[in-house]
Formats: sequence, structure tokens, C-alpha cells
Amino acid sequence: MTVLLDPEMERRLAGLRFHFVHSMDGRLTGVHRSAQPGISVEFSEHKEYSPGDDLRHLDWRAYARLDRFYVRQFTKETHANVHLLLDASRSMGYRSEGTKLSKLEFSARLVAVLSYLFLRQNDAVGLLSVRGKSLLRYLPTRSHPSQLVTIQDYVREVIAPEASPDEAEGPTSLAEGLEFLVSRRVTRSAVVVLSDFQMDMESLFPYLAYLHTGGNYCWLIHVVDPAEYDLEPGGPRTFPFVGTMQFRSPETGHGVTVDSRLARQDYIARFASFLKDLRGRAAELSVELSHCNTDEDPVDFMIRFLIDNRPAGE
Amino acid sequence: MTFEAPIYLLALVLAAVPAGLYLSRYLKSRREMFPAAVFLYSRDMTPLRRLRGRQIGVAFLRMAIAILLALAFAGPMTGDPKIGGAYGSGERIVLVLDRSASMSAQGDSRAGTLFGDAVQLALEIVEENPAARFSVRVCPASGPARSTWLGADRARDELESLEHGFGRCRLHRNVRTTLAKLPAPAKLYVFSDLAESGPEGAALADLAREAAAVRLVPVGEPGAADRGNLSLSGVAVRGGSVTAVVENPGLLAGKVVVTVQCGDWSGEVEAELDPAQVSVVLPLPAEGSFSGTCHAFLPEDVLALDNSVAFDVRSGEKPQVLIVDGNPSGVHAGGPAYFISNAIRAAGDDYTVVRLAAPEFSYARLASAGVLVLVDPLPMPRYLEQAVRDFVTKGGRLWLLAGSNVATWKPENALLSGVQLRECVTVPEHPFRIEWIDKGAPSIAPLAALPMSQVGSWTSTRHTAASIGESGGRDVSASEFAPVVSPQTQSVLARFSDGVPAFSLLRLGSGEVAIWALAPDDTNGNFAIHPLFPVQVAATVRGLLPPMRRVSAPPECVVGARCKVAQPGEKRKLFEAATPAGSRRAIAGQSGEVHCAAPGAYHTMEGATRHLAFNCVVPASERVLVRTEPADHASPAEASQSPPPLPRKTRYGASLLAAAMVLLFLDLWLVTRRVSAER
Repeated sequence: MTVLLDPEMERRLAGLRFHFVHSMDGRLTGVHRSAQPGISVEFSEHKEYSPGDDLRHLDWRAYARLDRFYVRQFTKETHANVHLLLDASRSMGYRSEGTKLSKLEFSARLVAVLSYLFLRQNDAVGLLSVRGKSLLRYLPTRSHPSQLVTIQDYVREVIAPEASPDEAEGPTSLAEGLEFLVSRRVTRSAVVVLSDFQMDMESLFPYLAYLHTGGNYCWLIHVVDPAEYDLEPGGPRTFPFVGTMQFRSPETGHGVTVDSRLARQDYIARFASFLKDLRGRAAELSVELSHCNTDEDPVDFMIRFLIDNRPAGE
Repeated sequence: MTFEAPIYLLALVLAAVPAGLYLSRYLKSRREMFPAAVFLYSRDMTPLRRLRGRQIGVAFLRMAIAILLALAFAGPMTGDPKIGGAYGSGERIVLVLDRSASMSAQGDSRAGTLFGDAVQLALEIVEENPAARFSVRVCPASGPARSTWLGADRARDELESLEHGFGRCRLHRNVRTTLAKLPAPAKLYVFSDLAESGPEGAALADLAREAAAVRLVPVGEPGAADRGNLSLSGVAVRGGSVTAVVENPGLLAGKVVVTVQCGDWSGEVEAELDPAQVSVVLPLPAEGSFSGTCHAFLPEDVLALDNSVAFDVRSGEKPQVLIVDGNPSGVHAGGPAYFISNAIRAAGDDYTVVRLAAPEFSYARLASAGVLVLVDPLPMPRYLEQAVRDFVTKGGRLWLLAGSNVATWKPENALLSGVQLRECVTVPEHPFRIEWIDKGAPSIAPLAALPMSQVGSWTSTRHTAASIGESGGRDVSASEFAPVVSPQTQSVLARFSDGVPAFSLLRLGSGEVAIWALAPDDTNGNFAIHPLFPVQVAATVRGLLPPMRRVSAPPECVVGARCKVAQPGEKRKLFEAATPAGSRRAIAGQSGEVHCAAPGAYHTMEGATRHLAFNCVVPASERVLVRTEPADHASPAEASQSPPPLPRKTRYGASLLAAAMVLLFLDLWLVTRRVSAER
């Protein structure tokens, strides 16, 4: 059985907290700021009294000074509903020489890490996986600790070799998964997409825009094999092929034969252009975008992300 | 085709590297499922067949580069029938005549010199082969080598028009170069006296053994070495005398007379010959009698070119002896200055002697004085003492006669600073005698040559003792008086019987002071009238005076070799020499080097003065006249057999290297082109 989350990873994740910058809308108490006022020790604002308000929150001092009734309102801390959208297409199964994990295996570990992190802070975590143009499965969000086991079991099924079809299924459309979430009227939740984004972007970003408008926190995690693009400065491991190579796309089945040494420079330029386009689109929608290589430790990636996105003054 | 370095042919296996790379990497394309393959699709894709063709082309290109480089370093050579000039029918004969300096030695009676004999022998071969085609070459060449083959008549004219030079010839190299360019079949005759002994001669003999087409024709009679040869290999100046080295390569025995000619003056010196070489000190004209270039000669022998060298003799100005009498009335007869000046004049040296009385001394021009003689001066003014001290410390020569006047000098005087002086007097019945002499000192040599009984007859009754001043002013005995300064700067030449130094030399700065501890006057025993007095006076003055004559030996250059005798800035400087063949010129090039073509002394004009610039000498290898035939020498008659094909060489290494470079640039251009692919 593939171990997605070992005790060492759990130990390292134990001290981490993930605070969304957006206000979340949940029923249970959690660590995130709620859009609705509630009861807590942290004062939020004053509100003019209206019948029906709890008299216990009347600010008698304000009444003494102003001769008017005001009630004190407090910040509500709630839990978040986190929807993990995993791209399980054939292109995610790619693993280059010298790399331990395929993009899908790396994503599976990252899903386990994210699930552990969110469930520990009482958030509800759900999972969707997409392959080709179909939604493989949907696990509704739950905040019960057993959800971690459920998610891991499901992810193991997805990454199992027998689960991969032999034939190309055509280009993956993450839009199917996002459309599913839109149809469920997900609001003030978190949507985390793990994919290599080897697809048509035009169909993806309208759904992301819709979700973003609905107050959802969207986070795109771009998983890249080092042979596809080495994110280290200089990218020494990018496109390490030698000689005449026949490259074939796992999703479309289209092939191309090139002299690798001659093609490398052009390939790097095009991939860099693709990354630039992806970042531009994400920035336009104020959607969080992260890149990671599959040889990076998932916990390291999380720590790096949290450090890069820590609130000001923390 | 042959190769200069066939070991490099092993590098041909490098040609397999591009082929191996192509087979392993390009022949069969590997398949790879690659999600980012979409980024490899290009609009300007090249058909797969074209891509394959390009890869094969690059592989072949690199194989060609490897092959060309390996071949270029291996150095392929092949024959070129065009080399040697216009072709015609008939046998080919190349005549190479040694024209080096040693060929100017006296030869058979037919033509005077060995070179003339060589020309005669070459003409005989031309006569014997009237149908053959000839190429006439000399070593060293007088100009660009002619590539035209000549008929017998033109070859005869060419030979008869040849003139002997004095160059330096590497004969075996010259012959080897000629041999390499010869068309086959051909014969090559070398006419030489085989004077290039040692490696040069051995190399020539080896060459004759290697290539049967080469025939060595010795010039000169075997056994001519019995006549021997002497040479003057140079001059050197040591301590004012000139030494010439006489080399005796012919191992002659007996004596040799070296003649020196300086203008109208000539002198001879005879030396016993040594089997190797002997150094001869050359006679020189009297000082001041000649100024110019002198030539040293050996008697006429087999090779006359190496029998003379030149050197320069320059005379300085006539020195002046300035005598200052310390006694204001001492210029009269009977005074010390009188005796001193008489003694100097009696010595016969052609010095200018000027006598001054003490009051006139302050007006004297010390700089013009070769030797300043202070004869028992009274204490002088401070400025005058300092002037005399400055004169000495800057290189002047002072002779101080310290009599009773000097004994009154205070220790504070500037000339003998800190020295206490006192006069020692005895009775005429028991005079002071000179009892000890430093026999090694040149200034006292006339006395040292005499027995002490004769020297002891030279007496005085008064002299002055000096002390450094440790006595602290108390009265000390004469035996306590010590040398004036220290043994390092003062040398005592003679002592009186009481131990006081009689004559001593003192170094002061860069000058020198001779001190006589007494004044020669008619009342001082027999000192001034003794026969040894003028002898020692002359020896003292000569010892103090700088030499009037300066002798210098010029640098030596070797005939035919470049020689740096001018400064780099003195380009186009002209040097001229008068040789038996007429006037010869050598001109300094950009780097200040000259190339002298004839032996002799070369002069140059500096302003209106003619200066000896350098001696152009025959190289040592040419001075030795070897008359031994090589053991494998073949006569011209034997050489009429058909020679085997000669090696013919045309080198292709540079061309192949250039071709490899061109292909390398083509390869670089190809591989830097953009991607080609097929969907």
C-alpha cells in the first residue's frame, strides 16, 4: 500500500496553520474569519439596537454617553470548506528518468498533506478528481478526522497503475470539475486545483472567475516534472534528452520527432512563455498560483507556500 | 605517398566517433511519452527525411574533419614532377659548390683558391656530360635559387661567372633541401673542401651514405693540412696590455711571429706555438705616440682570411705635475721642490711640471693637475686644506712630503685630520736608514730590486712621525707612532731604522695620497743627492699618475651570421671594411643587427671621427682545414651508374589542416541552426 503521509510528515505539519485571506462561511467553529458576526472574545463593531437583538450585548456605557442603544458585535471564527480538485489525466502520470514520483503521485501526496493540514484545524475537506472529460468521483466535504483516511484510500485508487487507461482519452478538461462545484453553488469556500494545466485554458478560467466572484479562495498548484521544466534558477534539468527523440503527447496521442539538442532552446522558450501566460491569467483574476517540481518534498512545498503568503506582521 | 609522422594515422579511429554517435543517438529515434510535447510543435517544421539527411550530413562532416586532422598531423608527402623547373630531356645533374670562407684557402696552382679548384672540377663534369641538363647552386646562395635546368654551354658560363664569397654555409642542410626537390633520376655533385669538421662534416658524409645520388667531390689535395693554418681568434685587453689568441688547428710546431701595425709604428712579438692555442701579449707604441686603430697580423699561411684582428689605442692628455713648495723661498736651488722637479725631469717622462711657491697655491687650478705635490708645506688656511682634501677625495692624486714644516701641523687640520705629527732628528754620524721594504708594492719596485745594503746607504737625519692621536697629547717615543689611519686604507711601503714609515700610500675617498715622511733638502743627510732619490721619485709619480693610454678591443661578429653591434635606435648605421676584394659595407637593420659578409675590421663614422666598430671573423668551424676524404666517397667516374629514385617531397599537411578548419566552420554553422522536426 502506497504511503501518502508518514509520521515524519505529520510531525512536521503539526505546527502549521493555514489561514485563508478570504472570509469563510461555515457552520462550525474554526480558525478562519467568518463573513457573519458571531460570539467570540474579539470585538468587531457597534450596531444600533433593533428589536430582537440580544440584550446581553447592549453597550451600557455607550448608552450613558450618547443616550442611544447600541449593541456590540463580535467576530465569528468559523471553519472552511475546502474542495480539492485533482487532475488525474494521463499526462499527470509522467515521470522522467531520475525522478521518484510521477506528477500524479506527487499530487496525491500533496492532497494528503493538504487534507491533514485542513482537517487538523477543523476544516471540512472534500475531493474531486477529473480524468479526460469526465468527473471520476466526488467526496463531499467533511470535517471528521476519518475523512483523511477516506481521501487517502480514494487517492490510492486513482494513482494505482490499473486505474490508468491504455488509450489516450483526449485533452483533460478541469472545467468539468469546476463546473460541478459551480453547480453546487459553492460560496465562501476554498478550491484547490492540482494539475499540470496541459489543457485548454480558455475553458478553465471562466469557471475560476465565477468561483472567485462567489467569494471562494482559489489556489492553482501547477505540478511540473523537472524534465518538463526545472524551476530551479537556470533550469539545468529541463529537457535533458539527447539524440533523435519521438515525443508523443499522452493525452492527445500526437507525436513529434526532433533532434533533441537542437529543439531544447526553442522548447524552453515556449514553456517559459506558457508559464508567463498562466501567471498573467492568474494575476488577472487574483487567483493564487504556485509551481512545484515533482522532486520537491510536499511538506517543504507547503512550508514554502505558507512562508511566502504569511500575513503581514506575522 | 609517405607520411612524416605516421603515428598520427592512429587518430583515424577518431573518425568512428561521429559515426558511433550517429548510430547510437540519431539512427533510431527513441520514443518518449512527454506531456509537454505540445511545446515542441513548430510551424516551420522540416520533413523527417530532411532532418535525417541533415544528421547524416553532420555525422559525415565530422568524420571528414577527424580524418583530415589525423592526415594533416601525419604529414603526407608526395612527389611533384614539376619541382626543379622546366623539364627537358637528358640526364639531370645538380652541381653544388661550397662557397664558405674556408674555400678561399690556397688550392692547386690551377686556380689559386680551393673555390677556383671546385669550379674547375665542376667544369670537368660538365664537359664529360654534354647532353645532360645542369643546375648550378652555391652554398651560401648568392641570391634566389634558379629553378631552370641549363644546357652544358650555359652551365659552363654560369660556373665561370661564379665569384667566391665569404659566407657561412650549412652544406649538408643545403644539399638535403636540394635533394628533396630533385626530380628522379638525377645526380647531385657536392664540391667542398669538407672543412666543416665535426657535426657538419659527419652529416654530409651520412647524407652521401643515405642517398646514392649524392656524390662528394673533395677539393684540395689530401695532405694539405701539413701546411697547417694559424688563426688570430680575437684580442682581449687586460690591465692596459693587449692579448691576442693564436689558434693552431693544424697542430704546427715551432714559433710564430705576430706583427702589430699601428699607423707608421710596427712591432713584433715571437711566441712558441702550442698544439691548441697560445695567448700572446702584443707590443704597443709608446704612450701618447699613437692614437687610432692597430692591426695584429700573422704570417701568410693556407687560409689568409683569419690572420688579422684590429683593436683601438687612444691616448689621453699629457698629465701635469703641480709642485707646491711649502717654503715661500723654496723655489730656489737647494730646496726640496728644486730636487723634486729635477728628479721628475731626469726620469725622462714627458710630463708637464709646474712649480709654484706656497703663496701662489691658492690661485692654482687643481682640476688640471694629474698629481699635486705638496713639498713640506707650512700649515695652510682652513679653506685651502679643505680644497686639497676635496681634490683627493674626488679622485685626485696627492704626494705629500712631510718634513719639519708638516711636523708643526695641528691635529685639527682638515687634510690629515686627527693625526699627531712630530719630527724625529738624529745626528749625522748615526743617520736614519731604510731598513724594511714591502717588496710586493709596485711603487717601491726599483728599491725592492736592489740588495738592502745598497738601499741602506740612502740616509736622512730628519723625518716626521705620525700618530692617530691615542697619545692624548703626551710626549711619546718614535716607536709608538703608528700608521696614520689603518692598515685597510694605508699601506706602508718602507720604514726607517727607527720603525717610522718612510714611504706610505693612503687611500682617501676615491683618490690616493703618497706620503714621504721627510723633505729632501741639502741638509737632510744624503737623501736628496743619493742616486736612488730620482729613481724613487719617478716611480712614485708614475705610480700615482693614471695611465695615459687606453686600449679597447671591439666586439666580434662572425661572417655570415647576424650580429648586434648597433643600438636599436641606430638603424641604417653604416659600417665599412677594407678587404682584399675591395671595400665592403654592412648596414644595421631595424633591430641594430648587422650582417658582415667578409672578414676584416669594420669602421663607422661618428661625426667626423672614424671608429673601429667590430671585427668580422671567420667562424671557428671554417678555420680548421680538414683534408680527410670520407671512407665511402665515390669518385665521379663511379657515379655514372644510374642512381635510384630520389625522394620527392610535397607536403600536404597545411592544406589538409586548412580544409579541416573550413569543414569545422561549416559544422558549427549547421549545428547552430534552429530546430527541425516533423509531426
